This record gives sequence, C-alpha cells and structure tokens, in this order.
Amino acid sequence: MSHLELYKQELYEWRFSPMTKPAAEVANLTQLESHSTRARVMMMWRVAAGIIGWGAREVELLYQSTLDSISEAFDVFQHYPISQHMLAARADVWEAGLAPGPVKAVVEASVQAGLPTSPSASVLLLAGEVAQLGDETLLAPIQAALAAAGVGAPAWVAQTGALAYALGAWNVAREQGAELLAGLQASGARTVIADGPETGWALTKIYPALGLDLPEGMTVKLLSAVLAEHRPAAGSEQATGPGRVFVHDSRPACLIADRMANNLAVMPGFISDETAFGQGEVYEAQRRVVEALGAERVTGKWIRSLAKTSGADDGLWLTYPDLAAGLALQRLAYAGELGAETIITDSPLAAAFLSRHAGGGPVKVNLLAELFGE
Amino acid sequence: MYPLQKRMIETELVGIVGRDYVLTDEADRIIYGVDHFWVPRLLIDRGQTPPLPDLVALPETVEQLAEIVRLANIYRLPVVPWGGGSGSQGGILAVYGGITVDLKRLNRIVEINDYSLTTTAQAGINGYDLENALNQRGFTLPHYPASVHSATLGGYLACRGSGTVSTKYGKAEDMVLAVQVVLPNGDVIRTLPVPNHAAGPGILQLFVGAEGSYGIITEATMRIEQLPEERRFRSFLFPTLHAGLEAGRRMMLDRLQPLVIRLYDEPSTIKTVRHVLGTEVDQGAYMVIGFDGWRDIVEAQERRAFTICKELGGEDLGEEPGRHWWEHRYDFYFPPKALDMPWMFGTLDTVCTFDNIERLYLAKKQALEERYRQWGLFYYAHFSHWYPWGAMAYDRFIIEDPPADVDEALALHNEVWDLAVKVNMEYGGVINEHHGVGLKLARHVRAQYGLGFQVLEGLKRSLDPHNVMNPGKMGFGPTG
Repeated sequence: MSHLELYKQELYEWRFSPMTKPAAEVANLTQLESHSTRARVMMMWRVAAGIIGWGAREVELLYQSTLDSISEAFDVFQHYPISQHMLAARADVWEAGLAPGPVKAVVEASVQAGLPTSPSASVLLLAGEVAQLGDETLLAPIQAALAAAGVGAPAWVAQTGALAYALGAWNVAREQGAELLAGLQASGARTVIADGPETGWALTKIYPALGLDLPEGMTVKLLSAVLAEHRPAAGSEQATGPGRVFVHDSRPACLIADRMANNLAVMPGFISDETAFGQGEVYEAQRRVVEALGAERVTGKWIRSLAKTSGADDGLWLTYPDLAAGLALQRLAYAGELGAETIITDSPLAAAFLSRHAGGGPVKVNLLAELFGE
Repeated sequence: MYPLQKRMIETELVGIVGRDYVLTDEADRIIYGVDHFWVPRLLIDRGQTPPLPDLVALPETVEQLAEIVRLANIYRLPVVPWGGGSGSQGGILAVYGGITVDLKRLNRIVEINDYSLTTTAQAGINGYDLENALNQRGFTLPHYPASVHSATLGGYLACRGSGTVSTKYGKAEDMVLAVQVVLPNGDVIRTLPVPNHAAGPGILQLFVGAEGSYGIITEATMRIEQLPEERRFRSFLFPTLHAGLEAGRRMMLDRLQPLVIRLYDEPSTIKTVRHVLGTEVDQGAYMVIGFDGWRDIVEAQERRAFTICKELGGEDLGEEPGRHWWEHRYDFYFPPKALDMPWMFGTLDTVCTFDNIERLYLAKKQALEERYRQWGLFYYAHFSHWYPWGAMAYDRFIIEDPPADVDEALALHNEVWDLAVKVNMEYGGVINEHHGVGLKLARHVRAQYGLGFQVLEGLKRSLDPHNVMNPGKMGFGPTG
C-alpha cells in the first residue's frame, strides 16, 4: 500500500471542497486553479484511487506548494491533515524515483553538506534553520540574544532532515535525523534550544514520525520561548521600541502549535481576537518579546496558523525559487498594507528570505533575536 | 479540436497572455471541469472525466480578455468564463470544449469610495479578500454567500447570487450600480454609471445573471455599507410552519428591515433544535431573526418583531442559538458536513409571492417524496431570503443511495429536477432564486420565459451571432 492510500478516505471527503481557497498560497500567487488545494486533493485522491498515475505535471503540481498546512488550519471544522496528505504523496513520488530534478538536487545537496561534530554542553543551540540557509550570518545575533538573556548555549549548525522530510525523502530524513540525534547524545546536552520553528518541528514531530527517539530526558525549547522568559520588562530602560511591527509566523509553527484557527477566524473580516487564529507557545513567545520591546504591533487575518508563507517554508525556496520569491513579495506587501514598518519573525529561514526580497522597500525585516540583542 | 489546431491556437493565446498563463495539460485542465454541481462530481467519483476546455487562458488585463474573445470568434470557439468554481449549476462546464478564461488575475480593487459608499473592483477578485479589504476600512459588501471563501465578485453577479443577509441588503443584482463587460465581439463597454434612471430600459441587468452568455463582466461598482454598530440575533420556536411564515410576512410588510429571517420547516427544525439547543422537539418551526445597524433603531425593530412572533405563538429561545448559528454558519460547508458523494442531492431554491409560498413548498414536498419514495428521497427546507412581497424556499433533496450506474444516476437526478422545476413554475415560482441556471437548468429556460424567450434569443443572436459565449447554457445551443 502506498503512503497516500492510507489517506484515501480523507482525500475522498475533501476532494471537491473549495472552502480553503483564500488560504491557498501558491494558487493566490499564480491564480492557476490547478495550484488550489481542491485541485491538488482531487488529484491525490485520483492517484490513491488508481484512476491516474503520477505524470510529470502532476508531480510538478504536487511540489509547487508548501505542505499546505495553512489549508489544514483554515479548515476550521475538522482540520483535515492536509500536510500529512502532501507528505505521503511526496514520499510515494520520491520512493518511485519520480521527484522533479530540482527536488532531487536539493535533497542531494543537503546530504552532501554533512554534519559537523556537536559541541559538548548541557544546553545546546541547534541551528537547523541556519544550516539550511547555508549562511551563518544570523547565528551571531542569535548568540548575542542568548548572551543578553544570560543563557550559555554553544551553537551546533546542523541539518535536521526537515528539508528532506518535507520533500518526501524520508529515507534521507531518517538518516540525517539519526545522525543528528547521535550528535546530540554525544554532546551531553540536556536542553536543546531550537533556532526556529522548523527545527522545533523536526525534533518534536518529524523524528517521532520517523521512529527516532530523542535522548532520554532531553528537553526541547524554542529560542523565542527562551528569549520570552528573559525578556526585558515592558517600559523598562532596555525597551527600545522598534516601531510598528508585524509578527510573521512560519508554516512549521502551525505544526507544533497547540491549536489551529477556530470557526471565528474564517468569518469575513474578523480580526478582534487574535487567538482565534491559532494558539500555542510558538505564537505567544515571540509576541511577548515584541511587546516587551515596546513595539506597536499591527495585525491582520493572515497570522498564526493562518500565516501565509514567506516562501522559505518546506523547501519551496530551494525547489521553485521563482514561486517562493513571489510569495515573499506578497508577504512583504501584506505587512505594508497593514501599516507595518518592520516584520519580525522567530524563523531564521523566513527572516533571511524575506530580507533578501525586501530590497530598499518600505518594510524592514528582522529576526526576533536581532532586536533582543540590541 | 484537432491537436494541430489546438497547438496553433495555443500559440496565439501564448502571444496574448504569456506562456505561464495558457494551460494545456489535462492535469491543469481537469479542475476547470468541476464546480459545485453534482454531475461533474459524479463523473469524477466514478473515474470518468467531465467535459473540459481544450485550453485555459488567464488574462491579466481586460484588453487581453477582449483579444481572446475576438480570437474565439475567428475560430468559432466556445469561451467559458471561470471565477471561483463554486457555482452549483455547472455554469462553468465547457460542454463544447473551447477556451476557459480564468478571470482571477483580474482581481484589483479599483476604488473604495467612502463618500458615496461604493466600491469598484475587478470581477476576478475573491469575495473573502474583497470583504476583508473593505472591513479594514470600516465597510462591508453585505453579500455573505456560503461560497464567500471561493466565489468571485464576477461570480456573485453572473448568477444573481444571494447571501445570508440579503433580506435587509438585497441580492447581488440589487447591490450593483454598474459593470464593465467584454462583449462577444471583443468590444469593451460600460453600463450607465448608476442603476436607477430614466435613460431608457438600461442594459445593466442584461449582463447580471446572464452567466457570460451576453458577455463577460470584468469590473463592477457595488454599493457598500458601514460596518454596523450593533448586530443581534434572536430565536423563536413556532407551533407550525404556517405560523412562522405568517410572522415573517408581517415583519416584511411592516418594513422592519430584518437582517435575516431563517425559518426552518419541521424536519429541519427537529434536527436544528437538537443540534443547537440540545433538546428534542417533534414538531414546530424554528426561526432565527437578526437585526443590525444603529443600536437604538435595532432595539425598536426588535421590539416590534418580537411582538409579532409572540402574537403568532412563537416561543422566545433567547439570543444564544441565533448567535451560535451566525458564528458557525460556515461550518456546514466544510467536509465532511457539506453535502457530497455518495449521496445525490440538490438545492431546489425558488421564490414566489407570500400567497403562494406555503402551497408551493407543500406541493413540492409531496410530489417529490411520493414520486421517489422507493429511492428514500428526503426533502427539507428553510426560508431564508425574504422580500417585501414574498419569500424564497431554500429546499433540498437527498437520496442517500442513488444508482451506481452513471447513466441511471444522471437520469434520476434530472427527473427529480424536472419535477421540482415543474412544481416551482405551477405555483408561481421560478426555476431558480439565487444559484443561477448553468447547465443544470438550461433546458428549462425556454419554458420559464415562454414567448418571452424570443427577447433573450434575439439579443443573443444580435450580440453573439456565432454563439461563442458559454454555449449550452441559458437555453442557447452550441457555437457555430
């Protein structure tokens, strides 16, 4: 049985629903109906039902997307696990050797990057998102923020396998995960600080799904949560006030949050209670830090579990960079429409990718840690 | 279309809209054969392929769309407009192939006029996105259809759609001031700047509800409203449907301007009361009433409405059930709540004057339940769009175990519709109130209009002599 066939009944129930259309990220960029969640689910059901096979264009449509956890969140009635359907389909495609060239190339590159030796420490910063970026520029502000918070945690810049997992290469992800866990074991770390939500997702969700166990007694914390614990008191001398800020949540945050959006979130125009859009420490922590820093926070419909992608989620920025760039520009424009001067995010991937596309535009982008360390 | 011809026309389309916006692969086109109509879903469910366009093009400008339409005239190709793909009547089905034009790239808000309270937007804008943009400015387009998350502004108008608060604010055709249209010959026109005038009969409403048969709406100016200071709901349980209908009629004739009146028939009442209130009733008619606007006016409207309800034996169930409905009103459209396979189903909505509405409902219920007893047809209704002269029956049928064979299933489906439409017309109703005609009801349009159809046909012949615009709908034949 294929991975996708496990979800045949759910795909059957979802295959004709257009309800998540406003949330469809890539479809709302390209406007191609075939990029919509409905089209993709219908396609996956037809494959699972044996009506069609994975043709070249079907495979391309499958990968021209994030894992679409935003549609999962927007389905406020049932929260069908659309991201799981995507993962299962991609795993089938990968195992059949049908993944598109860019996907294969990205996975191979992540393998070739290898894993450096882990430092020895009881508290360790696992910089999985920074590792995926292949650029350690953002490591310095993260370390500065931890230092400012009085937390000693040497950094380990290491691929977690989240990228390979999202692209369906579960065999590769399992190997990378096992190697990383061995490194953590060797480090003697009791607490691992994840540099961003994707790293947190790998440690807390992907590894269990791949049958990999964290070392006994190891605790995982998000960097944003650590910073929130040590945030300056609002109005204190440390609070610098970064102006009007829009907080961006990355897509993996949705997969480690406590709750996705509720029925009120999809009401036209509803914006009064932000928690309707998703709840969990992954959302609250960075907001607590931002507010403590004296920022005036602006907000809108597409936040928390309904946050549209920066383009840097689930490997899309590496596999289909043009699509990802368009999504980044849309996210920047959205923040601008809300009146934000700055986007702040706890995701190094999102921060770097949005920054790359912000150019000299009116909206600046900062990693949360960059503000904290100032 | 012959493969070579398709390649040649594809080349021309690429020249108009660019390579990325011409779709030829079946993997891309198949979704353009599926809307919310039951029949294409049936076909997909049974492993078949619904009618598909040969090509899909996504114009970014009105000029590009006009060029495509001119091209279609040269080659005598059908042109089928596509918005959100959420219609329930099969209006988007390319039954004769041709070119589907997906209008979603025409999605700009041109203006929000906060002085006259109007907005002008392109037809491909998503309804939810438009509403959110208006809400940010303190306004609303008070058209909240079940399809608001997927439908487009053009789709609202193409089928004369209705939303949950239409009783106060009207249907899509009541909110529109003017439209821009690409005519079947490629000319781009604008209707008069305002809808109320004495400058002849006007042409605005020829395009509203025509589902692309007379041209493609590309832009519309709509009336908008300020977000209300107050919005309140109340529920009542009436002893009979008749009492509930009478309460609704009196509220409308007293011009109380309710935001919403949702009156459920007995089968729906039993189910709804159990779901919302957690209590059992075996008869009666449940009603949700809402008012919105300035607080003092809402209070006055409520006082009079509640008095009417109580005079007719309505039991006041308080605010909470109505509020619950309002906040959960989209739940029913998410799977697995939404009606779907393997059931056969359809919404048979119609509208007529108050003197006919109860008779029409009872006659249709009896006719369908008796004729299709062996199929276990379940019929239920609510009355949710009210006018100063009548009301709409939003009635549905469900057959939980339809024939497995596609042809048999389709025959049964069409029979049910034929009977329902016949009753609708016999009792002074119309073939549809707010979902449109599409492919589903195209065969009934001539009977609906009688000799009046020659007006529609004459216009069609004059505007679209080759019948390129959405052929097979509205009682019109194929391209030729």
